[in-house]
Amino acid sequence: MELIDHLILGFTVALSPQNLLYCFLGVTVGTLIGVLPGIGPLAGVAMLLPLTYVLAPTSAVIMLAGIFYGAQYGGSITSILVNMPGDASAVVTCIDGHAMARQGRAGPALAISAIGSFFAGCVATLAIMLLAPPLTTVALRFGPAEYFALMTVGLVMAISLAQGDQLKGCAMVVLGLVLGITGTDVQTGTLRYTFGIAKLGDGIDLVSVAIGLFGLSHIILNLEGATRRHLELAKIKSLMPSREEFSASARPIVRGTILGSILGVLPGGGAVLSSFASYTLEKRLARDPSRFGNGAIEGVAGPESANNAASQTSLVPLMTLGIPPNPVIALIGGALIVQGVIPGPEIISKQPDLFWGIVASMWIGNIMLLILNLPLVGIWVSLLRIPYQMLFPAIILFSCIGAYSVDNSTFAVWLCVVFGLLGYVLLKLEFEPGPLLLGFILGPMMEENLRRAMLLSHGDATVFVREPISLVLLLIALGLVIVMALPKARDKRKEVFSE
Amino acid sequence: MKRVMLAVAMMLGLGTIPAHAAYPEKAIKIVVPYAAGGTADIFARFVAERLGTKWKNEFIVEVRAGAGGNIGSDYVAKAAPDGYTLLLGTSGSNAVNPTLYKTMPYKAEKDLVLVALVAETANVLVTGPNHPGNSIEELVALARSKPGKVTYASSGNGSVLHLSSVLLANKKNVQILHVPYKGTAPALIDVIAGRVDFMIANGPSVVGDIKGKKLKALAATTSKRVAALPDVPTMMEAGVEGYDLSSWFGVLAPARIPDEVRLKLNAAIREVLAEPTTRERFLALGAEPVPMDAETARQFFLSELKKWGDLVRASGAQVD
Amino acid sequence: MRTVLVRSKELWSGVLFVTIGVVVVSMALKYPTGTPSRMGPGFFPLVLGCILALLGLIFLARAGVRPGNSLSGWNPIALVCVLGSVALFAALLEPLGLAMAAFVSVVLACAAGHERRWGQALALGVGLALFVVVLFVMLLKLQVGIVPSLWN
Repeated sequence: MELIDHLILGFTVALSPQNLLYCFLGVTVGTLIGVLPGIGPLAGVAMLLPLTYVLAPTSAVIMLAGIFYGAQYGGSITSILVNMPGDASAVVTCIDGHAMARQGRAGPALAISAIGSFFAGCVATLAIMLLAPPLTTVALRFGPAEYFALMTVGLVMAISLAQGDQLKGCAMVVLGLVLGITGTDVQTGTLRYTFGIAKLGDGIDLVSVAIGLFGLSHIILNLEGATRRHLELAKIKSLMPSREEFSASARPIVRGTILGSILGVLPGGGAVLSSFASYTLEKRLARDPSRFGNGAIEGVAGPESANNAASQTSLVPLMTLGIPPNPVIALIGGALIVQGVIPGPEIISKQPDLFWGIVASMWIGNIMLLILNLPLVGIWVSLLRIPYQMLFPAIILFSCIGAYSVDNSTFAVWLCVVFGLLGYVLLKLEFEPGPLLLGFILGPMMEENLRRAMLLSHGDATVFVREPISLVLLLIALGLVIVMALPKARDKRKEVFSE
Repeated sequence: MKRVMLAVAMMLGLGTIPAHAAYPEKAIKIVVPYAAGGTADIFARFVAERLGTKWKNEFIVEVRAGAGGNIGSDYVAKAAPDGYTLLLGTSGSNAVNPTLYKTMPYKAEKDLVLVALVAETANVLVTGPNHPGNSIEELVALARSKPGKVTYASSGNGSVLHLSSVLLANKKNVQILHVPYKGTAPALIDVIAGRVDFMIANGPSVVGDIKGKKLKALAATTSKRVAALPDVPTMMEAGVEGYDLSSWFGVLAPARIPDEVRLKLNAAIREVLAEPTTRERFLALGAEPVPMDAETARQFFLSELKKWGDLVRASGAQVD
Repeated sequence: MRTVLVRSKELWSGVLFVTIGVVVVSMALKYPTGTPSRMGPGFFPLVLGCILALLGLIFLARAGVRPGNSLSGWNPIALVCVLGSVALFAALLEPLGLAMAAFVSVVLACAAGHERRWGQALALGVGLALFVVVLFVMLLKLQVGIVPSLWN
């Protein structure tokens, strides 16, 4: 069967000593990043991106992808042990995970988290293997109208699934769209919003936005916080979960995996969303919802599986359609483009060793994480003992170098200052920067495709409803908008997000 | 401590100032004005490697991308004209931009000189496999029958590929609709799918698809047939008179570079291009080595500036 | 305790977005707008700018009805030191080289922290400067000068 051939090809590539090393490096660094407060996978991938230019494309993606899903593992460690999420997608795990830790059940929490993530990772990889090739044939049917409709769905989802106030989420998305417009207009060559600065002709670099908005702003905010951060480190008694814990976790893991796999693929979806959605689902399905918040293991099993599944399946749209569904994947896509590999429908057919090698290495990465992380928990914990005082200057320095090295340009570093300030102001005013980033990435594509669709149809706007795929997608977007507006849905959201 | 020692070493080094006859005496930097990993970068690294071995001197490749190649080109244009800062320029970044961009940070004819050409890639006019046109003639007839409705893709407004199609339209007096994309890859997808009628694309990007029957090649833009596509006629053979365009890559330097240095570089590059392995490596990339002596190269650059300049003005494309 | 309007986050959100919206729109008008069926470069930003300004007005209106949360205190030192550290790095990197820029930047960043331990800051600065020089320039071949270029 062809699939077996592909797998063999993939494993041959992934098991080369070089790629094994990069996989290991990726997942280890990823876990480290996940553990460190203040740097999430986005800032981490952004900082390490330039390093991969010296690697072959396959090795580069293996390493970057490893960082991404490794960070999901790492984030859960700090969530459980220290009640401090390493990044947004681990926030949910804090709730019941840390509660379990306080009851002396940190070990089982960590173990279930790792096992759930492993299961999810394997299933997600399987899903990619089965679904990606057929998806590419569908991808060729995506013309500008369809892409525009898809972007619209993505943006609507980004708004509807943003935490908190939806109007604020909307404002963030639109602001992101505006920032994304900066640069040379594809259609006419007009320079827009460049203020006469030549470098801005290529647009604002994503890395600067990511570092400023997510890294620097959070550091400033952290420093404003309590005068002395004390990390309550829970003791770990034993690692193994009890039989009841195992059986209680089984179904949430499966449900989380499925949820995460689907949501990871959709633009605007991703790991953060999946973990929240899974938590909500489990709470709703539980026989005794009041346990949630007090150490219900389902509240760890589900979200952890979901966010790991999502981070892996989010590679699919990049590899098949060339569209990154979330900012981290966008960065990985950027790294590929720099290497001369254009993500899109052609990748699977033109560069099968790249695609299947990455898929196979995700399996391997998941195994590595499972085996390595549990014994290494002690090391990660001791890292947390490095005083923040010493940690954050290092993070700032690495961010600066990372931004510079993308293009050997100090301008990119200056941009980090601008976005750091912007991010700080937005955080102070209680805005979530996440949707902004999504708007920033998807926006220009949306406009480009909208105008191109109109150009190709010679001014005929009905093209969006004449084409079946486009029509369906636009209806979905419309449906989502309606659902968002319904008062009942609004109340449910308030409920979920107030936790 | 370490930094102090380094500093002392540097200061001692200040005592020796390089004289022309002894060129090169220190590391030479080749600036690439496009993103790392692209074709320009590949050629830069090639030149760095081969010249480095030949002269036993260190060559560094530095990427300074942005503004369609202007950032890197400007950096070199304003660098000291001592032969230690060079540019791996292209027809796009250095022959087209000066007219395309309303404001340029440097003046192409005055500030840069083409030291030596390195390679040339041909561009090919392709259509989707199901497209009714099977030759340039048929395509032109189609365009004539419905003015403004036949569409063509390009990798960007004012790009070499865009302008190549403009030249075709001018020569044949037809009106075709330009659909710009961000880069060649997304454009090709729409050509293959038949959403856009045709595109003139870089040889290297389409050779694979042509052989795989996903694209039909109607003509090559150069005056000689492309080595990798021997069955594809040239534009001139296909009935478009006076049509000879290609994308070139070359080494440029600040204009006031001393003549001895310039001639030395040119001679060395020509030697490298004549090596048998060079031709092989270039053909694998879909390019051909183009040795050209120093004076011809200098004139070539000036004539290219004019040729592409005229095309830009004819197309009305502008980046402001 | 009722939130004072002028300290309301909602109010300032409104101010911010109205301002941004107006700026975006005014710049968008400089580019050809075109028509909906043949959109020019100015069309999309114009629409977006209007939406932003509109959202800003909604925030202002909401603030009037219910001021909501009030702005918490801020730490200007942290803000200035963190952003200043990055800015200093950007300014000093090319003239002074990586080692110096890293050192200065780290020391300034340390000033943002709660404890003012200068000895520790200087040591950290030297340590990190050396570390990044080794890692990025020597191991990863990042193209950047290590020492002040004035000395080359």
